[in-house]
Amino acid sequence: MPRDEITEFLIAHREGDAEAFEQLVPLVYEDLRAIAHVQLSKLRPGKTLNTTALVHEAYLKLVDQTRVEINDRAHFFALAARAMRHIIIDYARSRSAVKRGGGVIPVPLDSVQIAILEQVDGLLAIDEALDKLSQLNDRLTRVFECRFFAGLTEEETAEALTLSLRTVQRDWMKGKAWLRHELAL
Amino acid sequence: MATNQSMSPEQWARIEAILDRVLDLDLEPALDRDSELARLCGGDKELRQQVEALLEAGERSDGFLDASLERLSPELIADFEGFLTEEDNSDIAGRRIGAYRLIEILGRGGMGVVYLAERADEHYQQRVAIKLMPRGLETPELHRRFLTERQILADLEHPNIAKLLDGGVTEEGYPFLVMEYIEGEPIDEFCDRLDLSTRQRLELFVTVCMVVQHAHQNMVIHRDLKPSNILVTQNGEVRLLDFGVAKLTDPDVLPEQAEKTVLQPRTLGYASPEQVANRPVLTTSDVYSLGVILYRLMTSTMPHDLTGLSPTEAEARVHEHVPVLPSVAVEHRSRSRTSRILRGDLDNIVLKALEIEAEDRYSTAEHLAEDIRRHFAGVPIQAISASPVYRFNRFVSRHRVAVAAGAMAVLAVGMAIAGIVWQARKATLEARRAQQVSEVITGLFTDADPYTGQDREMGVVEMLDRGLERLESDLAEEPELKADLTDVLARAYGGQGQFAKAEALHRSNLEARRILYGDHDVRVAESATHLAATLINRGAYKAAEPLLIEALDIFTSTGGESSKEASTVLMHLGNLKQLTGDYSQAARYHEQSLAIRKASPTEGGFAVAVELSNLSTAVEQLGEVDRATNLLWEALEIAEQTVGEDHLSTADIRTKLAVRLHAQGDYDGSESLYRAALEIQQRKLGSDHPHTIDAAVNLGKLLLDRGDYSGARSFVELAVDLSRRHIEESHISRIAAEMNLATLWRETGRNEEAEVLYLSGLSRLEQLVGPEDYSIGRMYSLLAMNDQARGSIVSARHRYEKALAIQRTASKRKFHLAETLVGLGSVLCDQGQPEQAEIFIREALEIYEPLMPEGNWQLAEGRVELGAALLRQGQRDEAHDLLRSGYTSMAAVRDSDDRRLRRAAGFVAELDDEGPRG
Repeated sequence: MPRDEITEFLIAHREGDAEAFEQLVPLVYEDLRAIAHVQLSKLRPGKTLNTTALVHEAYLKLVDQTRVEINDRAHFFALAARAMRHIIIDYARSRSAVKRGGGVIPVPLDSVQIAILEQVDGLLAIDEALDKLSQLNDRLTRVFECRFFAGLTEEETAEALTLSLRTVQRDWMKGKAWLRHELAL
Repeated sequence: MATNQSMSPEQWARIEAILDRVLDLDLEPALDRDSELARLCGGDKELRQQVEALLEAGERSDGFLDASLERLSPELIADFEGFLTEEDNSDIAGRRIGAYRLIEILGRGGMGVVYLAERADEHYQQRVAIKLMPRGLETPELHRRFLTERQILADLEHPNIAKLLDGGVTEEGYPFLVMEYIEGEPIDEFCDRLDLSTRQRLELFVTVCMVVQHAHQNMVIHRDLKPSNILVTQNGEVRLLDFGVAKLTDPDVLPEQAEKTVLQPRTLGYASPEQVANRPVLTTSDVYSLGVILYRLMTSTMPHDLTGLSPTEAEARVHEHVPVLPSVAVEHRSRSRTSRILRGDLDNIVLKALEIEAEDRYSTAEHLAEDIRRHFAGVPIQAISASPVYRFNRFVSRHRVAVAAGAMAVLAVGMAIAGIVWQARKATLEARRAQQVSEVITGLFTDADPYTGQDREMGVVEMLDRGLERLESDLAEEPELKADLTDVLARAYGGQGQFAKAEALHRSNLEARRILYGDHDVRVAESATHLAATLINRGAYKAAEPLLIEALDIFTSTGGESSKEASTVLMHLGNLKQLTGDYSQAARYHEQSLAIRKASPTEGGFAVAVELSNLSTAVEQLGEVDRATNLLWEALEIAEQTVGEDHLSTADIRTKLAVRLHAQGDYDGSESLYRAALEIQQRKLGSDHPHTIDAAVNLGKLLLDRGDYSGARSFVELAVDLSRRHIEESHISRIAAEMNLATLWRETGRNEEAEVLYLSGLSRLEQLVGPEDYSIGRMYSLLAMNDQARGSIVSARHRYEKALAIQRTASKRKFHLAETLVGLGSVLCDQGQPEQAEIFIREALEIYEPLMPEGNWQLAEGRVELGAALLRQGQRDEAHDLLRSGYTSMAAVRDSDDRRLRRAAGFVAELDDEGPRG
């Protein structure tokens, strides 16, 4: 999506509510995905996924900084965190579908694939647990997304979700506690 | 884990609150975790176990969760990159969805991606458009919307609507729709490219209207009509597409309850004002969008330039700027022939479709099409000419937003001027040259309107100034007509609060008419009455009275037809006496006025209700409270019979009566009247109208007074929301709305926030009414109650004393004084000064007892506090009955966990502790 369009949307939804937030995620999804693709293709094998750099790069590429306010910037990071979660989980789902065979005869898996699948299952479990957590307190889920999926710092998360730093620290702790408890990690 | 799965949000909220406290202990090292946990969990062992397990899990930092995605293995990252490559959207050619092969992307948006595709099937080649649900979003809401679109398209079989061919779910589980692929171009580009004539453009547009009408008849609102969704094929056929944000209307759903659009259309330019403001959308919203499209087709420009604006800015722009008339818009581009064609009918048709208020537009797309056909046929169109009424509506509506604080006042003034002009025109037309009067009046508004060329905003007063100049220049030879119209203008100035100007005009007009007609003439009496009414508004009561007496004398001596005017003069006299504190004389005048109105066959009806209401105000001041109430009941009955139960004026009388009953402590009666009044206002004005604020404030206040905090919440929040959006911070209604919110917070444990809001209200109120007004006393009293709720007894006492000092000097609202007295008494009792407490509380009960019905909880609370004060003085016998009966009355109406009731229960228990009496 062209940069102007995302910028327009951020401006148009300054006053938006939670539902509007949900609906804006797809606008960021495809571009974030493309940027991830480029970033990963440049990496030498063995490197890790740096989502922090990813969402910051996306911000610079997708948003016209001369036209937005601080809040729009924060709003974008919150969106990107949610979109990042969706991208990772879409990936996890596609691999999980392969394991289950996707309707075709299951193929034997090698040890690398098995190691990947274990992590994939972990990601899917986190996703499912986050859906449950959002029923209890959606804010904890949002904080978790920013920290875990977008790799934002506590300060950046506080800004993105317009929360106090202390609240983010407590929410991050509570969110992790709930997930560990839920997932018996 | 089972504990997590079965947990309710309430249970989790409780656990979270404990976790927050414990996590915050780092900040208060003096407290140790164990004892704090024990305190917070009470004896609940299971709870404590859960909390401790969670604390342990949260503080562990050895796991996967801490490291974000960096812990993912390099193998997985490589695999992830592979996934991104497989699914890269920039390379979709050849990808398959169901039985279709994708060719390219046609468009993208929040509601999905649309691809051009063809059937992979070898047998026949068919190009289709496939709409895929956007990735990254799998909310039930979007699934529902996709299914809705599918349903809508399936139901809407029409040759001019893109057909739904198929639908399904991709392998990854994303739903998709397969639609007829339309090879065409947007209607505006089509018209411009072929340089179609106005007539040809209109014919295409009529087809568009009929397609939209078809959708509406099938209970579908499109909600995103714009040229890019209306294609014209090579054969010149219209095709309507993209029902992605369309919705089904349900005739049983009231507009107020109708679902709101959430995602704004990307181009605000075609959205109706209600869509921009995110209010419920009706079929008339599509009519507005059609109006914008018509404007675009006729003029190649947009009625409003909204590029780069946020919805709030766009909304303001649409309200504040009147679109340039289409005929004027094309003039700039030297299409003088087109301009001539557009002038008149087509200007009016376009502007009627573009009315800001939905109910002023064409009620259906078909009516819009019909008016265009009428224009073709040379038959008069339905759209009212874009002169006085239309201009006037726009004028008022523009100023309604511009002057946010005075929104209601401006509206009311606008209506008044419109009414006066209409009356004047009607009356004068019968006798005099219709054309001349009409031109002068029309001139008033025409010159005031920016779209006759000038782009400048003109205020109401400036508009009146111009009208006045015109009168002087055009009607110098017509002194009688000039005097009539000067009277109209003078009243309009008065309506604008320009009393000095109004007074001067009425005064010179009175002299002019004395010369024209002699002293004893009804027209002289009319001017005298109007001058007096203006003087009353200026507070010049002494000067007003002789004028009214003179007018009354003229009207009564001419008799017969003038009785109506006589009753008006009597009403003014009554109001004047009321304002100067002579309530018994006020009541007498209102009674006389009422007698005339009741006797008159033409004047009866609603005018009687108005005087009954005025008389009620006077007799209330005379202390005849019951009579005041009964008069209002009578007024209400008459209003219901004459203007109807649903009329806004009837609602106003209901509100006045409700306020009476509220003050008398008749909460049941008051509540049902408030509710009925609010319901009517919401139905008539829409739920987002500033005029509904006061009703919502009053109802919220009543429910708070009843202690029905859960019932009060929605009205309190509604009033705050409306007032924050429609009126300024300093406006009294907004302060009242926010003070209710503070009270709600006070009673639901949010005392710190309540304190902040009360203090903000206090400072704004002081700006408004000065520091000595009785309402300031009330504010201190509210702050003191909040102090009590949070246990700050010393501060509470200080504030109650401050409240008392102010309220003692004011004669109004004894009821509030009593509240303060009880509050202060309860604080003194807590501070071990029951003797002093007793004095204050007895004084309060003297106020309450004649005012309140038995069973009122505040009266009961007063008795409980008196009982407590006596108990603390050792007078157990006297305390016993007061405490018991007071507690029983309070318990009947207040929740068991209510703060006040718990306090009362404490005293009753104390009574029992000290053993049976006697």
